[in-house]
Order: sequence, then C-alpha cells, then structure tokens
Amino acid sequence: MRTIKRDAPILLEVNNLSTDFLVAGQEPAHALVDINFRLREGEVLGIVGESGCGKTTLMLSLMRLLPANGRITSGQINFMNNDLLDLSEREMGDVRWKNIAMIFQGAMNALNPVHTVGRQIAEAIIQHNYITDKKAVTDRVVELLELVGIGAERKDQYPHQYSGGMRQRAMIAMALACNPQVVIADEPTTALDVMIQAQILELLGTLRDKLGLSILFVTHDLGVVAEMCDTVLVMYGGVTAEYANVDTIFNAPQHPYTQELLRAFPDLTKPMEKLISIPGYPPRLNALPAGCRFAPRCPHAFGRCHVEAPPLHGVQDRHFASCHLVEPESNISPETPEFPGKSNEL
Amino acid sequence: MRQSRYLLKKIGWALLTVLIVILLNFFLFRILPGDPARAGIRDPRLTQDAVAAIRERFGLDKPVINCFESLNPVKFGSCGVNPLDTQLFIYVGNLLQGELGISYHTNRPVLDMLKEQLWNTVLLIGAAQILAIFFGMGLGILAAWRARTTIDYTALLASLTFWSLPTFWLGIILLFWGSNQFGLPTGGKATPGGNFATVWQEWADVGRHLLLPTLTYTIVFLGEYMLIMRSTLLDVLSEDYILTAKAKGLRTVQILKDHALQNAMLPMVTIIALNLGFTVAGAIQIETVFSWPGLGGAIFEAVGRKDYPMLQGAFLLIAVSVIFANLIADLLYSYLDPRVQAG
Ligand SMILES: Nc1ncnc2c1ncn2[C@@H]1O[C@H](COP(=O)(O)OP(=O)(O)OP(=O)(O)O)[C@@H](O)[C@H]1O
Ligand SMILES: [Mg+2]
Repeated sequence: MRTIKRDAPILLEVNNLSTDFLVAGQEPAHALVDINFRLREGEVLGIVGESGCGKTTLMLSLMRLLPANGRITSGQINFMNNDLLDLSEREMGDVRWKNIAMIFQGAMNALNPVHTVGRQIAEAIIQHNYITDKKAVTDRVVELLELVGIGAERKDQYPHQYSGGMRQRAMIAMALACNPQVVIADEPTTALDVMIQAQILELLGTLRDKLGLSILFVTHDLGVVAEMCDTVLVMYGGVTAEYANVDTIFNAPQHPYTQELLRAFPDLTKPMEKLISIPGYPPRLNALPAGCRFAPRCPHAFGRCHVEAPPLHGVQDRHFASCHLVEPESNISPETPEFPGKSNEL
Repeated sequence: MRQSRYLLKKIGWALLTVLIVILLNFFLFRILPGDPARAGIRDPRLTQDAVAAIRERFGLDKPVINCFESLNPVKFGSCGVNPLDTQLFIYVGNLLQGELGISYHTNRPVLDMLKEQLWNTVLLIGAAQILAIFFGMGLGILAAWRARTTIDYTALLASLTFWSLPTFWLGIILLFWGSNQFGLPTGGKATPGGNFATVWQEWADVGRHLLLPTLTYTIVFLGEYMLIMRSTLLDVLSEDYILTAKAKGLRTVQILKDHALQNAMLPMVTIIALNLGFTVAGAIQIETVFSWPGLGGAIFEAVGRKDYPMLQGAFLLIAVSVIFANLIADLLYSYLDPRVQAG
C-alpha cells in the first residue's frame, strides 16, 4: 500500500453540496444532501454505495452536467480558488476536461460512432488550446493512445472497430488529453468482463502513480477500493454514511451501513464464511423514511433513528460517520467551517 | 478497399433491380386486358386492315417473346419464331438506344414527352424540396435545441398542422389567396402568348407561375421534415456521447454541429431519398390544381387515354428514379455512418 499524501494541498473541496431532481407533479427529490469531501493532490477518493445512492449524481453535479431536471440547491465546489457554482456556463466549459475530466459509466456509447477515435481525442486537445500546432496534436493523440496500450495505427479507426476494453482505454486516453488535475472515473469497469476489468484497473493504477493524478473513483467493488483508493466516501440514499481513509473504513468502520457492506463483501482469507447480503432495498427518493435513511434496514436501529436524521459526527481525525450510535470525539457538524480540515488533524 | 466493395455491391444490386423492373414493366403492359391498339384508338369504324396497320406500326404484330406468344402457356413451344424478332427483344434493344416507343395519343416519341414533363416536374418539386428540407430541418433543429419551450411547441404545432393539411385543399386556398392578393397566375407554366424581350423576362414569368405550387408543396413537406428532424435529434441528444461532448467543454453549437447532426441525418436521408424518388411521379394533386404541365398530370391523362407506351415509359422512369434515389441514400449512409459498411 502506498503512503497517503496527508498534507498534499487540497485540490477540490466540496461543502454541503445538495442536489434535487424535479419531477413533474411531485415534491423535488433530494438526491444529494449535504455532501462534504476534500480531494488532495495525488489522492484517490473512492465513492461507494449501492446502486441508486447518488454516486453518478454527485459526479455530474461536480461537472455541472446534471440532466435538465437536476438542480444544485446549495453548497460549494471549491476548485483552484473558485467556486465552480459561481462560474458562467462558458467559464465552466473551460474547466471541463482541461481541469476535471470524466470517464463515464456507460463506456460502450461514450464515444461518438461516426467519428474516428483519434479525432475525438484531438477534439478535446484543440478545444482547450492545449496544443495548437496540427502536427503536435496528432503526436499527442498517438502518445496518449500508446500510454493506454493502443497502437498508433488504430487512431483512425471508428469506435465500433474497438473492443469494449479498448474503448474504455480510449476514453481514459481522452480523459488525460489535456493533463487534467482531477479525473472522475464513474464505475469505469462495470460493463467489462473480469479480465478486461483487471487490465483497466491496473492501467488506472499505473497512471495514478506515473502522473500523480487525483481521482474520484466511483465503484461498487470494495476490492477495487482497497486496491486503488486512499480515502473512501460511503454514500447511502444521497447522504454521507461514512468518510474516512481506506484503512479506517476496512478496519474500524463506524457506520452500520459500512459494516454491512463489508460483511457482504467476500473475504478471500476466510473462504468458509457465508456470504451475506444486506436485507431490504435502498430507499426510493420519493419515499424517504423520516429520520435516518438507513434505519429501516439497520440491525442496530433504535427509536431515535426513526425520527431524527443523524448529523455527520467526527469520529476521529478525518473520520466521519452519520449515525446516532457513533460517539463523537468532538461535535463537529458539517457547518463548522473547519470541517473536515486542519484543526481536526492529528 | 472495403469502401469500393460496398459501392460496387450497392451499384450491382441497383442495376439488377432496374433489370427486373424493365422486365416486369414490359410484361405488365402485355398482360393488361384488351388489345392496346384497339383500346388506344377506340373507333368502331376502323377496318381490319387499318387495325393491322396500327398494330404493325407499334410493333404489336410480333410475338411477345419466343414461343410465348400472347403469354399463353398452351402455345408454349409451338412456334418457331426468330428470337430477335420478338417484342421483348425489340423493346430491350430500343431501350438500350434510348427509345421508349411512340405515344398512341400524340404520335410523338415518348422520350421527348417525358423529357419535357420531367423537367417541369423537377423544376417545381426540386425547388420545393430544397426549400422544405432547408426550412424543415432548420425548424427541427431549433425545436430540438429549445426542446419543451414555447419555440418548440409553436414549431411542433405548426408542423403537425402543415403535415395534416390536405394537399389539394391547401393548393386551392393558396391559389385563391395568391391570385387575389398578389395577382399571381392561377395555373400553367407560362403566360399563354407571352412575348418576352429577354430570356430573363421569360424566366421571371415561369418563376411567377412556380411560386404558388412551390409554396404549397414546400408547406406540405416542411412539416414532415421538421417532425423527423426534431425527434431524431432529440434521440441523439440523449445519447451518452453527447454527455461526453459536453464534459469535454464543447459549446452547444459545436455539439450540435459536430456530434448531433451527422448522427441525426440517417433517418432524414432515408425520408428525403424516398420522397425524391417518388417526386418524379409528380405531385399529381398539385400539378392538377395548378395545371402544371408535369409528369404527374401527364400520367393521369395517359391512364385515361390508355396510352400504354407513355405509361410504360413513365413507370420505368419512376422506378429508375426511386432505385437511383435509394442508391444515393445507401452511399450517403456509408459516408454518414461508418458502421454501415461493416454490417
Ligand atoms: N433525471 C433524473 N430524474 C429523477 N431522478 C433521478 C434522475 N437521475 C437520477 N435520479 C435518481 O437519483 C438517484 C441517484 O441516482 P444515481 O444515478 O446518481 O445513482 P448511482 O449511485 O450512480 O447508481 P448506480 O450505481 O446504479 O450507477 C436514484 O434514485 C435515481 O432514481
Ligand atoms: Mg451511477
């Protein structure tokens, strides 16, 4: 395990970010509520949680690419001394890809079928004036493709001539086109078979070490988290369940949901152990329980859980969990400006 | 390499289809009931000799094909005709020389008549199609881009209305309106007996005659193009690769231009190709309302007069145009969507 750059400068700081989806004839659905995290230079932050807990919504909120009925209702996204939410659409367009690039969940259709892969990569470079000289753009495209293990001769091929794994690698090459500070990878391996998954993960790991990328890594797979990530944000039903570094999450999880997730995750060192799945389903956004969103499925829930939503408690330095059972070391609410920052460090 | 193979394959199929159409077309007019000579020249006073002369003039005295006289299977194999002296052989031979026969009605070569009418039809419908494609697509793009706004709904409502208007009705209304308000000509292609100092003035006169039928035809087709453009573009805009394009920081106009339009063109190309192919058949309704001397009107009249050579020629022309338009569409597909050649 590589050492976490604890004191690397903060690149991206998200404070109390909330997002609603407007649905005709219904109350707005609160898809994200008060999400907080910090991403440091060279850090890989894993975002985990069951399907529908808002991972993609969070990533799209950061890029300000929510579907037409999505609204960011509050919060800040501080990036390089700017709140991204204050930027004009044009300024935001300049930040996209040049500073924050994204690898999408649906890898198969993320490339336009009617243009060559090379052209689509070049497009990103030219758009942001990363390189202007024509010849140099082509060289850069070849360099990027080779970086992800695709031969230069395939740059003039169309996406349908690529295999699924190659398309995803081409997406990664495209994400790196302008040397962004942050790469968002939204379940980059979901649609791929196991062998190709392993290849892509290895590639991302290599790039992380080689280029010192900061990555927001969305995944279902705790094994991947253990391998790739420095810190982990566990989400449940649009809220933060737990936020800590990867060792803490695996060795001393505080939130019952994290504990259940870990129990549902097969531990290869104990082959005889029975596989457990968490009973019940994540809440639907239009039928949220009062109180804690996890309470209906929580093995430890008690009276208060069903009436009062727990705030995000600071458990320890850089370890936060939203559960009434967690004994807060000190009561740091997300509103505290220092959250989850300096004053709290060991 | 793959490109040229695809091209050759498509052209080969088109030629084969044309061949089949020629044969079908030939036999269609031979199976039709009644003796063409008699039907065409309905006059009881005609003597036997005169009929024979007419039949000879139009080549109807020859067997249809070798040993297949009158398409009667009983007679199959019963004749010892020189295959070079059959109607089929002569027909195909004439076709190859660009000969489509002589009209029963006007006694003029069918080819000459078709040329004239085709040109008139292409003039009318070409102009209208170009306008309809241009404005229909433009409106469709605007509506899709501004989806679910007042602009979108207005354009949608207008297009649906245009689309469902009966052509002849719209034509008559526009004819009244245009000739009353603006003194536009009510029909024909040129002012009868018009005397023009220059070619330009003659053309201006034709232009004035074209105005109303073109407008009618444009309105009728504009709605269809707009609706198809809008819905395919909306589909395309919800694709993952459009989100990628947005994430890459491309501006809306760039996304439309570089990532959406080409992808949305496939269904448009199909519809346009089909419409253009059938265009040659002439807009019978419009040509009738505005007395436009086009192919549609000519076919209509030829049917009434049982002018078989004329109809045969017109059908062939229509079929070949449809096949040709489809060939062009196929070739455009392979240019617009690289996946087409792979499949
Ligand atoms: N456009 C939308 N309108 C309304 N609700 C939406 C919309 N998009 C997403 N949602 C809802 O928001 C919630 C979060 O969805 P999101 O796609 O972010 O989940 P996810 O964690 O990425 O899931 P997965 O692991 O399956 O990708 C879900 O309940 C979903 O139904
Ligand atoms: Mg998702």
